[in-house]
Amino acid sequence: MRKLKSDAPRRRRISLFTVINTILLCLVAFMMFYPFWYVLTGSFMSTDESVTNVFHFVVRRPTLDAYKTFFSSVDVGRHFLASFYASVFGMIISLICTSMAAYALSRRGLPGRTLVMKIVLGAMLFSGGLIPIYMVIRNLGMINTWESLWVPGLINLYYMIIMRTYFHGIPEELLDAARIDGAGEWRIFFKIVLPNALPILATIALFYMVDRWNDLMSGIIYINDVNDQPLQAMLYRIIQNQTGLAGSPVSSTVGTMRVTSETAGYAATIITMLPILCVYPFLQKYFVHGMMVGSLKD
Amino acid sequence: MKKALKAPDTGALGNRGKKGLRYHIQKYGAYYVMLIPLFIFLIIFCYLPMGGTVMAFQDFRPVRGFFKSDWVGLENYADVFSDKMFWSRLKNTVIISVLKILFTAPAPIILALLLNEVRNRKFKRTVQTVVYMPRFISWVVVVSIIQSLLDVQGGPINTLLMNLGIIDEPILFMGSKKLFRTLLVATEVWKTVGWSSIIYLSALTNINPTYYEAAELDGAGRFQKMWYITLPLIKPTFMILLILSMGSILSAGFDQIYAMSNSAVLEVGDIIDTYVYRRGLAEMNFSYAAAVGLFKSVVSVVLVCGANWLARRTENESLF
Repeated sequence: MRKLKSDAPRRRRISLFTVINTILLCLVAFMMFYPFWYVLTGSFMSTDESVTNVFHFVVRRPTLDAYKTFFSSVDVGRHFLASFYASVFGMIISLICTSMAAYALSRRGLPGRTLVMKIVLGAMLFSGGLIPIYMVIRNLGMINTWESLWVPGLINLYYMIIMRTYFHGIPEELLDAARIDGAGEWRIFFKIVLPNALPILATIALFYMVDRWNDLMSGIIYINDVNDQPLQAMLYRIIQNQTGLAGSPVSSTVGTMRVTSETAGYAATIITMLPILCVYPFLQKYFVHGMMVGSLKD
Repeated sequence: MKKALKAPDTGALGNRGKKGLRYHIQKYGAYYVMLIPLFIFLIIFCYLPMGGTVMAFQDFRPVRGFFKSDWVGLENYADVFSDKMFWSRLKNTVIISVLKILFTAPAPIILALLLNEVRNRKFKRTVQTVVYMPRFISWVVVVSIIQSLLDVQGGPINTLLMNLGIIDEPILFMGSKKLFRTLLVATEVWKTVGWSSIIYLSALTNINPTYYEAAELDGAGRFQKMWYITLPLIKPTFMILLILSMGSILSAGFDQIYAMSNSAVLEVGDIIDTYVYRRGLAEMNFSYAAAVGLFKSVVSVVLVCGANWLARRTENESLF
């Protein structure tokens, strides 16, 4: 609405400000974008070019050598599969469990609803901590399985509350109409509630997916066999090897992995973020939507 | 019980409550079934580990489990509190968190203010797409990129600084004790500033335009409007976010620090979370690590509740 105010007589003063503002924002955008660009172009360079072409603004002689080296030195497929399983299969199960719980807790007449919410809040406030959680997962026999990558975070309670807020907005009359037609609660949930909540479902699904894909901790803590770890853990071992500062006490149990060239490291970085880079531009509005719903929670 | 009796008054049940027990089971039964996965999850992965914190008071042996390990009372805490390492890690954690809050809190406001002044929609959207992106990239990827940019041998940043004559010799950024915390804060700002600006952008669009119109009639310029209208109106949002960030002061970010640290910077970069991981899982000092973890959890609850109380007192808003 304020846009309408920038009427003709003031235009000249605005334009000076606009120039400075535009330059500043371009600078910010450049700082955000350049690191990605540097790695992306680097991954298409030969080792020699990546050394001589310091700033990587353009690739002079594109080559796929880096990717060839990377794919031949690491069993990428298996790491990728681990990440994919946790972030896609795990996301589907999480989404079903989260939406069911959120819907049930959004129904105002449900006896015991406040008690359940208190139990949820308690779990959000107080965490048992890394070691006890590790022991529980160990006793469940989940160490060294890909389930350990997503089952311990099956329901993100914060996401559940966001969804519950959304479900509050579905009018009871709509559901009543279906009840009069003889639909059962499950039928109503799947045929009316979920289709009416597609934006929030998409948002939460994406959050689950991105969280799991980007998670480094679980892969390193719960999976001992380095060949079974997800992509993030694989990339972690590659970069640890490249610092020249490897053998860090923090990472002593993980070990490092040799990738023969720096450009192969670029290729590994690109492969690790590829799925997110691919979906991000198209799904940005859902992410932003989710952020808005989350902030309206209070 | 009280809730069960009250239930028929609300919502759809208004005129159906008299249908009796069978109707209730039919109606609510499905809801309770829907809650089963949540209950299983809460019991196994939230409340069971909470019970597991008893190992902080045991000489825990995995083969014996929680029930057969010997009880040692507060012995583990005597170890923790007399351990210099623990205090230095606690100090690191608080310093890193406070530095992060100091810089990540105001940065999104500035970005949102700049973005809010953009008239060209296409330009605005492009900038937004680019600045939100780092939020979706993992810390390992960020660290991998940063490492290449800061490389000692021919990395672009070292080259640039040398060409500009700012430094004479390339800096070993990743292995510098002096620069490590700066790097942590800088990467944190880089990664979160765009995404955090969303909340301020929405606060800015919610400001009633008549305020600005009135100010313009009084002859207020762009910066006066910003100073006297915009900033006071987004202050509550800022305060809430600032206060709530106090609650997570003992979590300085496991993934980031784990991926970025190395033996050279451990002294200034090791935080409670990475310390617990190293002592507990790498060195198998389960009870000691669980004791540190429990300390962190308890202090965090106190901090979160305190922050929430403060938010309610000062800004009349709260999370719970």
